[in-house]
Amino acid sequence: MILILSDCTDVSTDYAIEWFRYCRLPFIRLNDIDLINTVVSVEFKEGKQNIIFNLKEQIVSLDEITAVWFRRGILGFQSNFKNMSAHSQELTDQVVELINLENKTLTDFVIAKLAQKQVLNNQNSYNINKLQTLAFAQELGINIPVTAIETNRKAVDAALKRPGEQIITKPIQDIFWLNYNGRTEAQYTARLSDYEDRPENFYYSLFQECIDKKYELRIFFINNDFYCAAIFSESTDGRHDSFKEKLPRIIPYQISDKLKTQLAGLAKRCEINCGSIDMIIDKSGKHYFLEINPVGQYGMLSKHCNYNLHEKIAHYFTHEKEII
Amino acid sequence: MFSCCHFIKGANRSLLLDTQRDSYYLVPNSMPDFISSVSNLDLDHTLSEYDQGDYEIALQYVEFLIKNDLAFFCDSAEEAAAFLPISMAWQYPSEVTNAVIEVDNLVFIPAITHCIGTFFIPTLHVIFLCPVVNIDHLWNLIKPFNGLSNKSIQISFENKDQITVEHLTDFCYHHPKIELIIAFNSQIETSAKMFGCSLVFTKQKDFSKAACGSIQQEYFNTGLRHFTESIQHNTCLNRKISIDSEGNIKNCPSMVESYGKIWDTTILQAIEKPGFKNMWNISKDEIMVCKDCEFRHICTDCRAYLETPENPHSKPLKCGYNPYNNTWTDWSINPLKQQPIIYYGLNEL
Repeated sequence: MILILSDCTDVSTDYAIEWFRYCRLPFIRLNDIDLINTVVSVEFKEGKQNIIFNLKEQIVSLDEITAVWFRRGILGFQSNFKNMSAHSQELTDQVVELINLENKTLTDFVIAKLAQKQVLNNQNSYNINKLQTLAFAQELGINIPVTAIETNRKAVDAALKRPGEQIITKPIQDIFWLNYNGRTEAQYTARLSDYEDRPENFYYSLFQECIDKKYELRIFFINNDFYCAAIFSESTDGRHDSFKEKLPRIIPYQISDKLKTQLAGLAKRCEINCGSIDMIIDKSGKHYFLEINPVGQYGMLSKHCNYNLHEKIAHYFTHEKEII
Repeated sequence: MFSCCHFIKGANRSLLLDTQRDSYYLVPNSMPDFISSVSNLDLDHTLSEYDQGDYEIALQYVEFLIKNDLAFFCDSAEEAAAFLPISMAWQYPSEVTNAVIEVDNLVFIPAITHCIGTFFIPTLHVIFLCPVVNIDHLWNLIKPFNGLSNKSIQISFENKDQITVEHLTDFCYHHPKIELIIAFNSQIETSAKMFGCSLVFTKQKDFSKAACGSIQQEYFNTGLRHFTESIQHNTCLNRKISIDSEGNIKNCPSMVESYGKIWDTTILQAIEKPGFKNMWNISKDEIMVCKDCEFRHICTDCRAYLETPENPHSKPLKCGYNPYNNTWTDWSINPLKQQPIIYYGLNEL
């Protein structure tokens, strides 16, 4: 039985499970709400541990689960404890904290046991530290844009300013969606020159040299197999606004064996075995690593390059466990 | 050239297909020859060896490709070598991709659903040949098909009682799987989009077997999936199954050959019978005349009505295009086609 941890809006899961069904792979798909309090019991006895799950009204033991695809969903626990009306707020807060700690220990243990199965990724790696990934890349000899986190203009200029060249800014962590006045706006990458009014001092912000892009690379990898596309677009980073631009060209591209080895090393250090990598190639042909994302969408890449990635995911689970 | 762009060479000219932007260009046959001779080579150096006349034409070709964003320049041979061709593989994770089911006699419906059973059919097209009295009637008719294992449903029905777009609003809302509704024999010609479902009202009177198989530019499909399927398979019949109004399981309702009746054969048994899948792999490159046509891989096909009925590789009867002089004419009045028209009884329509 293959466990798929996803969410109900993820189309990539929909496509992949068509292949699961076609390959006659037994699976259960669990979306957001199906993932809370799925554990019936955890028992340590007769020299072994066993976990009993209730997965969408189906009782399944840990032994019956052969593999797990951590696509997006997060397995977790939630207590229905609200408050202790008879007692003080102080005591209530402490009980909540206690329950949270209990939940964390329980979750970590269940995930650790599931991680011993044949797995794609792990829910603990969904939100990889972006700075950490840049550091890993640098240490593995993968070129990255000059990057600086600063609190004043002078320091930014000193670190990054080159005559005639642009500087960009973006969130330190992942893209963030702001909701206000009924609107949703994303914190995308922006050129510093786009801001008319720049204060002298500011809160910690990330700055990067702007790469004079020839094209971008989107690289999907699964278990050290790489599927890469070159994307010819006008945008400043990997994100596109299809309403403003012509559909960018997305065509198959082959990365060098050296880069493959480096990226495989990077994935290993990030503790993921499936995901997407964004890179940029500048006008002189130099590669720059931007980010690595285990839960990104790969449907466009699969469709335009005819890579059939949904089948590749199902195929991964048809094999015997391989050492990652 | 961007690898999403492909040439389809015809007798007199070629079609340059841009699968990513769903468009095509009609170009001289010398263009694909030119492109294959210079692709991934040093352009300036190659062109310098051309004589004046060829040089001018070659420059025009390059300009055309760049202007339409169909090609790009690489700085080195190594860079060019990193751009791989797109795989021409066509795969789909189910035994069949679509089914056409004719419903005339309502008594057949339990047998139809029984014969399909739990067999997964991604797209189910149900054609109601029986009169649909009103919208409530349609709700009842579609009920048995909702429960079958599928991703989407398309329905066609004869619009006897002048059902309108407004009538279908609530119907579409409650049937999210229905992606297309065709109301034929309507009094008006109109189309609309309702909760993700396309509604087509057409004055076309007849939706029965004999009305199918027409080849028209309106049916061209410029997508990569269609193109890759067309290279290896038949673009009408590949992974198709059908049940006609008499309960016969066939490749398509308009064909003669039956692979069993719904009362004694399941869908799965029928497709495994010898011959059933033969039609799936007759590609346009093997069909007479079509194989010389520049439109062949964006086109539909028909194996039910043929110019030469006894030859399974004959050109579709209902195609009015001549790839040797690049003209479209009305197939039904072509004197050379009168014999097969009479053979199929199409003259009686």
